[in-house]
Order: sequence, then C-alpha cells, then structure tokens
Amino acid sequence: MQRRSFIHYAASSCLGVTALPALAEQQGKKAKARSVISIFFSGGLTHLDTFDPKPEAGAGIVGKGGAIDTNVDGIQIGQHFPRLAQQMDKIALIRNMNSTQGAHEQGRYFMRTAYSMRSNIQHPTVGSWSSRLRKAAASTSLPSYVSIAAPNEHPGQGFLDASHAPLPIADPAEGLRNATRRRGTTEKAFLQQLALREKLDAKLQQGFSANRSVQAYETLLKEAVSLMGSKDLAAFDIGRESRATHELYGADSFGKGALLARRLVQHGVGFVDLDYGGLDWHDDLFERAELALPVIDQALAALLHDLNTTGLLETTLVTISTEFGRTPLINENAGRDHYPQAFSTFMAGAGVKGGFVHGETDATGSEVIGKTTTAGDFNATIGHLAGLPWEKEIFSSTRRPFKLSGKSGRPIQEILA
Amino acid sequence: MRVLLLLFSLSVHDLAAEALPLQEVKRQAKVLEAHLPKIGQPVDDATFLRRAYLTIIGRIPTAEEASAFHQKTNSQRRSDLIETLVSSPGHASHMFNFWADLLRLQTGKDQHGLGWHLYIREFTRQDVPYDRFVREMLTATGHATRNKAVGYYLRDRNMLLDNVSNTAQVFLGQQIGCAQCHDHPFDDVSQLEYYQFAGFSSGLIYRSQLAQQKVQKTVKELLDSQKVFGKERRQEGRKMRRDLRSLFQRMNRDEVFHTGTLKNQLKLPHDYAYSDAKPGDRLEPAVYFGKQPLSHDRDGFAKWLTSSDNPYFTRVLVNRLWNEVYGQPLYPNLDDWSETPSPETERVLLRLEEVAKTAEFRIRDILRVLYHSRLFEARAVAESVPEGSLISGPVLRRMSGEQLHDSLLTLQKGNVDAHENEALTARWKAVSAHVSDLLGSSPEELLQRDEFIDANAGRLRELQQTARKNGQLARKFRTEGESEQARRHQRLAREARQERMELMKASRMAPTMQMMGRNVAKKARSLRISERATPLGAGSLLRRFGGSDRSIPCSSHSRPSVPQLLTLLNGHEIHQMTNDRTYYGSRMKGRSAGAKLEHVFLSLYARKPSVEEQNFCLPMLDQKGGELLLTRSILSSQSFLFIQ
Repeated sequence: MQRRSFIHYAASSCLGVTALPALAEQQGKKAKARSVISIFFSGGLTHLDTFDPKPEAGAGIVGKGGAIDTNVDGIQIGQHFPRLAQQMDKIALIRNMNSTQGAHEQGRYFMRTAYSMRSNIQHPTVGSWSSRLRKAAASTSLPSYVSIAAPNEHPGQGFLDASHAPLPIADPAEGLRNATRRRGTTEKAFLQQLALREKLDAKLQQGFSANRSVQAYETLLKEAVSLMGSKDLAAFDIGRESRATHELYGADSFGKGALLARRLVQHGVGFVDLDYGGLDWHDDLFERAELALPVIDQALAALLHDLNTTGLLETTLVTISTEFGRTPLINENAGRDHYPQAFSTFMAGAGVKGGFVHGETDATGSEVIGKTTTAGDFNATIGHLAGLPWEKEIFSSTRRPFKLSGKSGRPIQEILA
Repeated sequence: MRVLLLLFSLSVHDLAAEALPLQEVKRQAKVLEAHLPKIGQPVDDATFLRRAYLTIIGRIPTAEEASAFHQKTNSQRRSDLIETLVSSPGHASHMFNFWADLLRLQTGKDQHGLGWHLYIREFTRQDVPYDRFVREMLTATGHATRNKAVGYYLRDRNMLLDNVSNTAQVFLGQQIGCAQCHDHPFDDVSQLEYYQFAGFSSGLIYRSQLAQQKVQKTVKELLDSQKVFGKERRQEGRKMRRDLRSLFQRMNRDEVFHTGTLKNQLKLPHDYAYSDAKPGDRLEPAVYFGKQPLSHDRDGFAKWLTSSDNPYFTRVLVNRLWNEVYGQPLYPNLDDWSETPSPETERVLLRLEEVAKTAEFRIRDILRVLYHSRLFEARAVAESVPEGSLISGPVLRRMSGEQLHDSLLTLQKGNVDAHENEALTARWKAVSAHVSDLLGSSPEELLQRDEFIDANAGRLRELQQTARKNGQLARKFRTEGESEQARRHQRLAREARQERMELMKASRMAPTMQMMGRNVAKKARSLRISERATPLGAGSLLRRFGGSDRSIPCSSHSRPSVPQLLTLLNGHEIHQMTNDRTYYGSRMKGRSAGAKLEHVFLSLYARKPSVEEQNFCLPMLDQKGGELLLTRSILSSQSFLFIQ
C-alpha cells in the first residue's frame, strides 16, 4: 500500500469514524448547517398530543389532551409543551409526515434510513451518509458522527465502510468511555506500560510491517493516547457545564443527552444522533404523557434556547423525528395505537424558517391534506441544508445503487429560509 | 453397560456416521498439499499452539494447557492437539459463532429465535451433515416448539423474498437481491427468473395453523355443548373466536405453514414492467442454473440446492471454511460467485469439493483436513495475496470480537468451554410447556382462562401503572438526592411488579419460568459468547471489537477503532484481570517473580518468556503494581491481539 493512502486509512479510522471538521468547511457556502442534531423518538410520538393538536375534534379524539398558544400567532401545540411554545419562532413544524411502516422496528428503520427494512442489506443513517458524502479533510481528533443513547438496532453505517459508523455514547453522563487513565494508575506507570508494550511488539512489528491492520492499530494507539490528553475530550464531558445549565436541560437522561449534543456541536462535531424512547402508549396515554412530555419539553426548549443564545443555532440544524404517529381515535384502554398515515416532525435552526408550519392534516389529524412529506424528503432536506450531494448514488457491495434521500425524496422547499 | 452405551450413542448420533479416521484425514490433507505450490516454513510450537487454540476452539489456552503442550516432545504432539481440540466443546462453541453470524441468528426474536439458537447449537455439537442441516431448514414447517428448524423462515417473517435472496447468497454465493425489483443490471438473472426461483417457497403462511385449528375446534365444541344454533351461533362463534384468539397470540408468531391454495401463491408484482409476463401472473417454479429440480416444491428445491451436482453449494461452503481457517478466502468473494476462479484456485476448489464429499458434509471432518494440512502449520503471511493466487500460510489477523471476549473470559474463569446457559434451556422448556398446555386444554379450561384474564385485566393495568409511576418517582427522587423517598417508591414499584407477575402466572398468559433470581444475568456473563442470547448490545466489549449485530449475513468485522484502543488501555475488563478473584490473577499469589513471569507469558502469549524478555520484565515485577502493569502492557499489545 502507498504510504499516502495508508495515512488516510489510519486517520479515517480514528474513533471508528472519519475524523472531520463540521460540515460547512468542506461544502463551501452552499451549506447552511455546519452541524446537525438529529433527535429520534422511539415508540411512536403521539402527534395529536404534541405538534398537531386538534382541540375541536371531539372527546373521542382529544381525550384529556389540550392545546396551548405559542409565541407565534396562529400556531398551537400540545399542552405539555409550554416551554417549547416559547421557542416556536425558531421551529418549522412539519405536519404532513406519512409513512407506510406501522411496526416499530420497520418504522424506525424506514424513518432513519428512508429505505424499507430488508434482511439482506442494511442502509446507512443520514449521519453516516454525511460522513460518506463529505469531502475528506482531517484536522481534529473529534469524530464527525456521534450517537447518544442509540438502541441496539440503530442501523449506523449500513452497507458503508465501518469508518462511517457513529461513535456510540451509551450514557451521556458518562461521556466517552475509557478515555481517561484509571484511578490509581499514575502517569509514570501508564508511560511505562506503553514503553513495555512497544518492546513486546518489536518482533511482530518487524515481521509483519506490511500488514494494514497491524499498522492501523499502531497508529490508532498513538491517536488514542493523544486523545487521552487532548482538550477535545472535554467535548464529551457535560460535567464541565454549570449547575444552571444542567438545571436548564433537566435531570433526566434525555436532558443530559441534549446537553451533550450541544457540547459536541460546539466543539465541532458534524452530526449527532440523540435517541429517546418509551413513547409507545397503547394505554393510559394521558397519564404517561403527563410524566414524559414535560421532560421532552424542557430538554428541547433548553437546547433551542441555548443554541440560540450562543449563536450556534445559525449553523446548527436541529431535527426531531419519530417512527410514526398514533391513532387519533382513543382506544378502549385510553391509549393510542400505531399510525403511520399522518404524523409530525420538526426542523429548527440553520437555513430553516422559524415560526412556520408546513403541511396539514384534516380536522381529526387522520389524513394528510394535499402533499405529504416522506422519510426520503425529510432526509433530503437535512442533506440539502448540510450542503451534501443528497442525490448522489452510492453502490453497495451487492452492487445496488442507494441515495441519502431514499428512492425519490426531495428537499422540502417550503421550509427553507 | 457397553451395549447400553452403544445404543444410546446410536440414538443421538444416528444423524452423523462415524468421523473420518485420522489416517484418512491425513491422507486427504496430503493430497490437498500437492495442489498448493508454495507452503511456508512451519512455525515454532508456541505459535502453533496459540494459533490452534484460537482457530479451532476460539480462545487462548490457559497457562496449564500451554504448559502441558510444551512438555510434550513426541512428534505427534501437534496432530494430537488438533484432534483433542476438534472434539472438545470449545470447537462447537467457536463454530456456533461462525454459523450464527452467517445465518443472522437473533435469539430474542419472538420465541422461535431461541428455538433456532438451540437448533444451531445442536448442529455444531453433533456435527450433523451440512447438507442435511440446510435441507431441514429449507423444508421446515410447523410450530417452533415442534420443529426448531422453522427459525430459518421465521427469521424473515413475512419477508419471503428477502429470505430467498439470503438463501441464494448464503448457500450458493449468488447475489440476486436486485432482481427482486428489476432485471439485474450486471448479472444474468432477470426479475422473471427471480420470481420463478422464489416460486418453490410459494404458499408459506407465517402464523399458527395449530392455534387456528384449536380455536375452531374449541368454539365448535362450546357452541355444541351450549346448544347454540342458527343465526345466533354465527354471532356467538365470531365473538368466541375473537376472545380465544388472544390466548394464542404469542404462539401464533412462532409457526410457519404451507398452503396449496391458489390465493396464497406467489405472484409477479403489480409493477412488473417487462414484456415476457404480466403483473400478477403466477409462475411455474424454476431455477436459473443447473438441472431443474425433480419436484416443484420446497422439497425439490432443497434437494436441488444441497445436491453435490449443484455447481455452487459445495464450493461456497468450502470457500467459507477455508477463509475461517486461513484468514482469506480461496475464491475472493465469499458471497458473490459471478466471476470464474483462476486455474490455481479452481484446482484447489475441486479438491476441497472431493474432501467435502468424502466427509459426507460433516463440517468437522472438512475442517480437520484443513487443520492437519502443512499450510496450517506454515508461517503466517503479512498480507493477503492478490486475487486468484494462493497463500503460503495463514494470513495474520486480529482476533475476532468473539475470540477476544472468550480469551479474556478464560483468563477470568479458566476453561469454561463446557458450561451451558441453563437459562436458555429453561426458557425453551417453559415455552414448549406453554404451547402444549394451550393445545391440550379442554374447551372449558380455555374459556376459564380467557375469563380469568378478562376479570383481571383491570387489576393488571392498575398494577402496571403503579409500578411505572413509582419507578418514575424513584428515579426523580434519586436524581434530586432524596434517597429515602427514592427507596420507598422503588419498593412500591417492586411490589406492584411482583403482584402483576403472580397474577400473570396464575392466568397462564405467557410461558412462566421458575424464578432463577438475579444470578441469571451474572451467570450469563461467565459464559462463552455462544451461550449468550445474541446479538449483544451495541455498547458491549464484543460489539466494540466488531462482533456481529446479526442484521445481515456475516456482519462481524475486525476493523480497528479508537474506542477499542481506549478499552485496551483503560478498560475495566483489562484492569480487573490481576485481582485475586480471577483465574489468572489468583494463580500469581505467593509465587516468586520468575514463576509469576512464566505464568503471565504462558497465560497471555502461550509461551515462556525469552531471556531478553525476562531481563526487561523481571525488574518490573518487583515494583508495586508490577503485575498489573505487565498484564496491561501485554493485553494492549498487538502480539496479544493478533493471531500469528
């Protein structure tokens, strides 16, 4: 292997992901979003009780739900989102989402990848697509794509090279695991360990210097050691945030995740996935909503407020998505079931109109009126805002062509600022 | 006694005839060697030992195992070692991972996933002939508790076409997935041919016929005994069926059956765009290469696919096994045989096909030929050779996630290769008992069960709410530092959960297991990966090191990443190794520095330290924390991580 290509290989394996600065630097002026925070709600977020309330639709549909005004005239959202209501001027609601997948696993997969789930190929998430589609240029030890609290079935890089996989952070409070010396290990002992390791490997290094993997491990070891002492590591440590900031985001793990996402973006990470689950409310929906939605409200509002105050919102796109909506008609167990025909998502920040509603559903939130927005459109919009060639076809190892935008997704022109 | 034993072994092993005699294996290995133009110099004993353990049983040897081998001086010692390892439980465990990755086994998929897990485990343990294993799966129908092999179809529940594409890829090395939607752009398979190919499996229904029949029979008997007739009978019957069906909901997901009715046959898709047929056409099943199967059903298809006349079945298998043993496939693409192999490769492939036939498709015997060949003893090569040429020795490679996990486990616990996960077997028993119980219940019993569930539905929901609410409050108070309040709510949540569980148990709604307590999870962590429910979580050590997520065939990898290095440098998995509670650490206690050093090297590198290594390592063992330092240095070294 050529020396040059080797260096590239090693660098691109750093942290298991391509080490790249935020998006816009390589994409030129076209890109509005240098960074993307993509929030995903597993279980199926109830659209009627959150972003598409229908207070006039009758008791069988409204139940114990209610709507409140926002800081934008004429836009109402669910009663459990009072803080988010004060951030509405930054948000473009998308109320005409439509999917064909009504089961959890399939629904999540479809919304994340814009392709139907198959058992002989796995498709990449938008984060991995953006890692793949960006022009390469390495300058930081930080990864370009981090996932926070991602569930096991998160599709990650799909058929793309493993270097486009997200760096997973399981617990936002814990941050990047194993990134510091263990307590009780002195610096001297650590250096001694490194020196000894080198001696032990001398023979293998000599005999197998041509092996790509051996060399990559050698390089990555140095990267790992330099990361341990690096200032960049602070990006993963929400412990450095003030008490006031922690209080702003809330004590729940979702709030901590949102705070970590903000820190990562602030330090130049290009793409962050944040997952939150437990919204599959087939029964007792209103009691559950009362407990869970305020957590979401606080964290999302804090994130938008915080990004806005620090000026980061201009270059950061925040999106929320979910696997499907929930049935407008309340079922016999006071819950709502899966409903892919119509549901809501939103985008906010870089390049997106604030205080805007795109699309609408009928009087009961059951059917989309007019044009629908698909997972492909949603992803294409992110791609467009991040300045990525979202229409570019990439071939899988099975020699089939795939795109960030799915089969036929197009950016949602109406919400672009 | 002898007779009894013989009878017993016959009943268990009637599937697999006796293994090939060693003499025959060695003869086959010799013939194979004659087809390999260049074989490197043999490696030293220590390298061979480590390679053999990792390649054959998927872990490093313990210090005792290593030392026992090094004490041997007879010329047969390597061959003896191979034979011992091949027949040990560790080999079945290692090969289980190979098949689970290829077949995308997900233990937690409904109940059939667990059944399939056990089925694949039996296949690797008993060395059932491969062609038979594949035929059994491809022709399987029925409920998983009656035939565990249905896991193959149920893995792709309601995705028959995907399942067919995987069948073609996994067993025949054919990429036909594209033709599912349109004519294959590069290969010769058209969409029409794809549908003809899939046609053999047409008519599969993914739900329980047993349950359906039981409900029908029960309703009829109940209506008869209650003397309900006429219009009322229809109405009442419908209501009863609906009620009863809920009892069978769970079991309904674990069965696949075949129907000959026309309505359920595979049709061309509604957007079929070519002129050779019309959308919605039903096609006669046909294969697009080789001789046509004798019958137009799954039976005919399975026989055709696994026949030794099939041009791909055997070579795709031996190529996978070659790759597994030597670290690089013979024919470059394991899953896509669209090119013609080079003449050198072709000769070896033909030879290996002969080996497979002689071994009657017993994987263990095919592998034995590969292990006993001189190529397995040869010096490792640094790089994969260009496509089409042959290697002179195994390719240097990083341990797989499974090998690393099981090696670290061995350091912690010693040899645990034979330890079984009792929880898996216990759960499967409970699942089977639940199904038998349902099917064996009288109409009145079923009705009672349904009524009991209905009567307690409200209470069950209430308990769930209580548990949830208190759980949430406990979390809230904990984050606020109010630990007493947190504990109180936690207790309330636990009580509600317990009562709910008792109620569920009484209602017999779901399979119930003997409570095995908290030890189950802890015990599972002391087991080899093959005994764990798969796939493991994305944050696990296994997955960090490229362990398969079981989403598509062969999704495991050994690519490096910084989190891996951070784990090796700072992870607790490494750090805890020298404490007194581990197998490895406890054996250092009270020994001299020299003896400790030997133990460390034998345990981790399967060899004794060289004089030079003694010189720079011994002083270290005198300093405080020296054992830990040395251990961590070795565990983060490439000489540990790589298999030479």
